[in-house]
Amino acid sequence: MKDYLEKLENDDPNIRIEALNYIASNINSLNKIKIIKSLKEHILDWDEDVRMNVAKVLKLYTRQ
Amino acid sequence: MGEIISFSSGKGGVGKTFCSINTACELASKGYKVLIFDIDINCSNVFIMLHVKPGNKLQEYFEGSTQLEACIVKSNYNVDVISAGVNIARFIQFENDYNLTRLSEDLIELKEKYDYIIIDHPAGISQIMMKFYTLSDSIILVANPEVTALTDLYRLMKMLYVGEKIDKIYLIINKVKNIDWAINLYKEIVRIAKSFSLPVNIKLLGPILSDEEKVISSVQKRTPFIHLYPKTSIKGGFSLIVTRYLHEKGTTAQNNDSTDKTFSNFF
Repeated sequence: MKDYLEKLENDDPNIRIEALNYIASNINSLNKIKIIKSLKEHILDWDEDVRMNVAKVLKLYTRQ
Repeated sequence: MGEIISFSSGKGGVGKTFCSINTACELASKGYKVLIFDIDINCSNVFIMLHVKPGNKLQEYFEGSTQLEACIVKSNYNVDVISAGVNIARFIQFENDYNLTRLSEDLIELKEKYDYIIIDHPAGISQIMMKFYTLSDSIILVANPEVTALTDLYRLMKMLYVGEKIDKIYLIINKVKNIDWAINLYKEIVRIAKSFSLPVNIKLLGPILSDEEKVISSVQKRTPFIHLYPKTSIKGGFSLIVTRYLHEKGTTAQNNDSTDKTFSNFF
């Protein structure tokens, strides 16, 4: 999980989206509190596509 | 037909002009045609921050020697500007001035040419400025976490409500350390409005995080922040604000993807 949280901070939006896809598909095995905390900081991500993915993953995690 | 959006604040120094310029640039980056009308007659500085020279065009307009459209100056950021400049206070002293009526009518005519006309108001509220709130399609208020900014914001909301200028206000909370702080301030503003029976629908458009050093640098370089620092959370904040505003006004598609992008479940 640590690797993917680090990837979430990568300068390349594609790598951030890759990390978000991983986080989305591993919802049952990841620490939800840590993930939500990290995702919240990306609500203000400068890249619109990343923000879109953050919104979807955040919705997924907060519904659980 | 375009929209007129008023940007205002209860108190000076909260970052109203910073927010209006960067929101304008964000709208322009999405392909909209945008004009900023700086009517801050006491402290007009949009022209400084967008690096344009307005001259005394608006003064000539009030003197009757030119049209309002001739006062428009183009900036390098796809945002056009009309600046109050420094000499116009004497032309618009009373709410029912001929000059003010003419200016309002000409501004409405410009809606044919622009998607968004952003009026950058002076801080606080005066009878003269009421005219511009009246012709606005939306009012966006800017506040920061200072107690005085919040109390002045409440006063401004009350005056706007009493003056029957609004039933809905959009809010930007500037200079916060994190999103949670902005959400808590927003809840506090809503709570205070309710406790004083002010039936105004307040909608938080978004927070703008604090980064004093970069903000000062963008002002010194006379370059809008989102152009100078496009890979920052402040740029993300303005992008989110515009996304939420356009969705709220029904300008963007009202499907699930579009709604998700607004983080409506979160704010």
